[in-house]
Amino acid sequence: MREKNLLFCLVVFLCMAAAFVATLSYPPDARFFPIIVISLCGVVALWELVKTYRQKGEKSSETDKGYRRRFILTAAWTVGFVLAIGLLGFNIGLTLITFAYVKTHEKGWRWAVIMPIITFVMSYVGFEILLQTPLYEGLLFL
Amino acid sequence: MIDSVMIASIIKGVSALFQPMIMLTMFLAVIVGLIFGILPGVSGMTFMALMIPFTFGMDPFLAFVLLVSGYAVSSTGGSIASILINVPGDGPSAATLLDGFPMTQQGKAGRALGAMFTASGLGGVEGTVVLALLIPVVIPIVMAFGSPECFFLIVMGLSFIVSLGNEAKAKGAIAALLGLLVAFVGYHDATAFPRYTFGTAYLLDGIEIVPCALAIFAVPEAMSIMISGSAIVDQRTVRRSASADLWEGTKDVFRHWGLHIRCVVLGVIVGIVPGVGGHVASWVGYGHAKTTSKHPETFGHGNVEGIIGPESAMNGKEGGAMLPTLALGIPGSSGMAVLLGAFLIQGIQPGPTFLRDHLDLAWTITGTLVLANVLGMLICFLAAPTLIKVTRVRGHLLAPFLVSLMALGAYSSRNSLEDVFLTFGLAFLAWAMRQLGYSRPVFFVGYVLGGLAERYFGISVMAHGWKFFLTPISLIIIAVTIVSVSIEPVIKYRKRRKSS
Amino acid sequence: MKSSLFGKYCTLLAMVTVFLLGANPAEPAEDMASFYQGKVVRLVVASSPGGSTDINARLLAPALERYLKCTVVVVNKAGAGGMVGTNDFYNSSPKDGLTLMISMEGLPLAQALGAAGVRFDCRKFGWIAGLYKDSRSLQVAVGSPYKSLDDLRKLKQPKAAVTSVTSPAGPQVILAIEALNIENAKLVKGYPGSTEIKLALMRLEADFTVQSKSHIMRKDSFMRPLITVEEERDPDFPDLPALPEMKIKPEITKVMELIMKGNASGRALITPPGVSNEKIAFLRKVTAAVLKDPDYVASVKKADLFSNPISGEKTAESVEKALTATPEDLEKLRFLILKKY
Repeated sequence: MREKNLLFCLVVFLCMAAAFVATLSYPPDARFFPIIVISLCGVVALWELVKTYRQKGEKSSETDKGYRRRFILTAAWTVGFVLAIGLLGFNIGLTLITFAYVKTHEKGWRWAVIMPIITFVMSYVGFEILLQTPLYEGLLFL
Repeated sequence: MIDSVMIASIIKGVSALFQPMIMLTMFLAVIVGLIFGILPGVSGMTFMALMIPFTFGMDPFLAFVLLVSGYAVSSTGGSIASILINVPGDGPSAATLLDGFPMTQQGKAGRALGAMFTASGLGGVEGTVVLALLIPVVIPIVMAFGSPECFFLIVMGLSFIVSLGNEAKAKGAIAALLGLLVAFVGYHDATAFPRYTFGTAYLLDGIEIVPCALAIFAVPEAMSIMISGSAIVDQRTVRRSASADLWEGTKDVFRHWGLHIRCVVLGVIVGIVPGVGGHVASWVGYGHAKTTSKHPETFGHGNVEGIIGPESAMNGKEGGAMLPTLALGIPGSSGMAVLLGAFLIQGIQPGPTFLRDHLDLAWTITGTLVLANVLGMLICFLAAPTLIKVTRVRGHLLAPFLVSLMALGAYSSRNSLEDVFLTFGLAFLAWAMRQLGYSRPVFFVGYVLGGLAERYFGISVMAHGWKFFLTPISLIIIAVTIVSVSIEPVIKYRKRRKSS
Repeated sequence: MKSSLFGKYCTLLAMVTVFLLGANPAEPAEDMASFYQGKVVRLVVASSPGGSTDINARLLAPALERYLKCTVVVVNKAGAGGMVGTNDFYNSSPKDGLTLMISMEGLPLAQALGAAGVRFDCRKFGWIAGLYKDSRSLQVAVGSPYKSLDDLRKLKQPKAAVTSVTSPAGPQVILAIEALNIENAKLVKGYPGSTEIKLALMRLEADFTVQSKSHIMRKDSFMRPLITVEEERDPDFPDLPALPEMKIKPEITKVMELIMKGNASGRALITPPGVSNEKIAFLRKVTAAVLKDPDYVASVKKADLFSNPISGEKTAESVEKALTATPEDLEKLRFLILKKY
């Protein structure tokens, strides 16, 4: 956790530094508040960075490693959802990725069929027909 | 003044509500309004915008019952989703999930829902009563709140950031400042200069509130469910009787009656002031609940007061927002702006003459707000036991449904695919904040209120000069803010002195 | 003899056939009409649901459906004062004529100013018809002490309320200040919308503004107009002088023309670039009929919206004029609108 917090604070500090430089080119009225916020944030991030650096770190356990693996898989699935929408659109993309996810994580076919149907009904019937929200059709079908 | 004309108007206006067609319309509109509220990305405003074409040629009484009924209960629907699945139906509902969702995780979803239905239903009714009483004085009240007063109201909302954070003050400060910075993305209102847009047209309007709320609160929790694979409620948690739990939540509102009433009043005040927005109401309600609670340290971990506060304020606000809309023809909120369009379509001009020429319709609308909230409450109570079952669904089945719903919600707010990308991109920042102990509510309040604060600060200085804070109402709000913020540290200090 | 007669008959038959095939005036229109029949047309609105542009679109949609015999779906794409939706419409819409948009006011002016975020060229849109061109006036609050322009000129620092300098009304506020010699005027910028501006004037937080005539149409309106900030008098307010009737500085005349031309297209029905001229011509014909349709006209009137249709050709012409100014004039315009205040 210590290393992660150090990394987070460092990233925030660097972002604030970059934002500070960018903000200097804005007109005076437009930069007044952001300069104050960026400066404060940079200073506090630096303080937190130093404070965290001085703390003792903990060793990562097997549980942590297992959790990390599950997080990476989850992040990959999340990105997969977004890619599916981008390539295939909401109606088809969400249905297919839901099927893939449930089939991967659950035994049998029952829920792997039911959940995609529910997703499709929500997307097509709920949003597109009833709410009259024309949904994105996907890069491959444009 | 209550005279025979007023009494005749009240009788005509209220009795119109009890015709069969009107009652049926109200019933259907309440159900549809609740569904609109539950779905992220669509709101009561969207409901009204979609229904308006159907009101052409309709009897005005029927038209407004349709529109106002659905609109009145939509925020209740938003809070249902916030509590059960941590997906805020709209921006203001985000305050409810801070304690609502933890209660659900503890198996107390029924109690959370019961408290929410009661607080929001009663809040809507009481806000409407206050609306009716304040009609004679609405003009002086609206005139009294200029840009300096709006600025300090928003600062009061921002000050509650102090109470929202946990013990790690530096992390809380970083979260708040990051939220403020995100609020500055897009056009600067006064100069129309684009800030932090990276040359894209997409970011010119800043980051939309629904995608941001989904990214900060909902997606990380969905990811957590995907990682654990377990249901929202741990299977080992004792199953409670839904109806008993709902009743317990209802009683909670009466146990904290003072908090409920104070938050309704706060909501009405925020609602009367056009331009301040519903987000201010719900966060001011939450912040006030925490600062006045005997156990502020339990907020964020399932304290029912954390539901009562924002819900009372949020629904009280709509009664307040109706006031300048009817009496001045000046919409008190964005939803009221859409309703104003409906008035014009019916050939009715809200404003000073509206209350003279259409007082019966004003009472119909007032009565609709009351009845729709009550009806919404009853329907929610009946549907709650079924809805609560969602919390026991296995994580690997629920998660893809939730992620799909979030993607659809993010897209629907502006029909923008970029919003979907932004939601899931920002969610990784929110995930990091969650894991490392940076307060996401604090970030969100900074984001919601930061842009408003900058706008009204700028207008106040341009219009009044640097002495803009010297108006009487501004000074009162400043005093209330200082007192609210210092109560908790002063009490802690006194306790420490006593124990030492 | 026979063969030459036969040859003549064949030639004559061929000529008649060619004539009939090549010169049948009904076929293109029939093709266009049958093209749209049964299809889904998207009508994009670059603003949120419920506003006047959105309501206008929702009233236009069923009328278009009747004439085109298709389904018309209104799609909202709000953001950045209409910029987000317009950019998306310009850059990503298919060129098949099945995606139309109701443009926001002031697009050519925004392009001329080089406003940040403009990713379109107004000259490349297919201008089908102008639906409505707003008329703006310099307004003060009814309860304010200002009864004439001179009252404003006497103030030490008159304050003008505006949402932003690049909104449709923003340049007209600055034009009014410059053209009418309101010295030492200050802009109070950043109000969210006309509602907040009205309240600011009523509280005397600001002294005047320039905004749509919709705010002064009713008898119990809170605003009082002093002058119409347009090239001609408004027929609804014939007693109000128009800007050119006042003694304006010569150097402002050119800027005034640019601003007026830049806003002249008003709220218009447009196609994205690349749509065929035949389709544009067909849509112009159909829309002209729709805009005269009694049901549509009645619904617009009932919704308290304004309608002063302008032909697509005229709209396209005014857009062209607005964007062919000299670099010096454009620089003057940009300085005035974007830098001076």
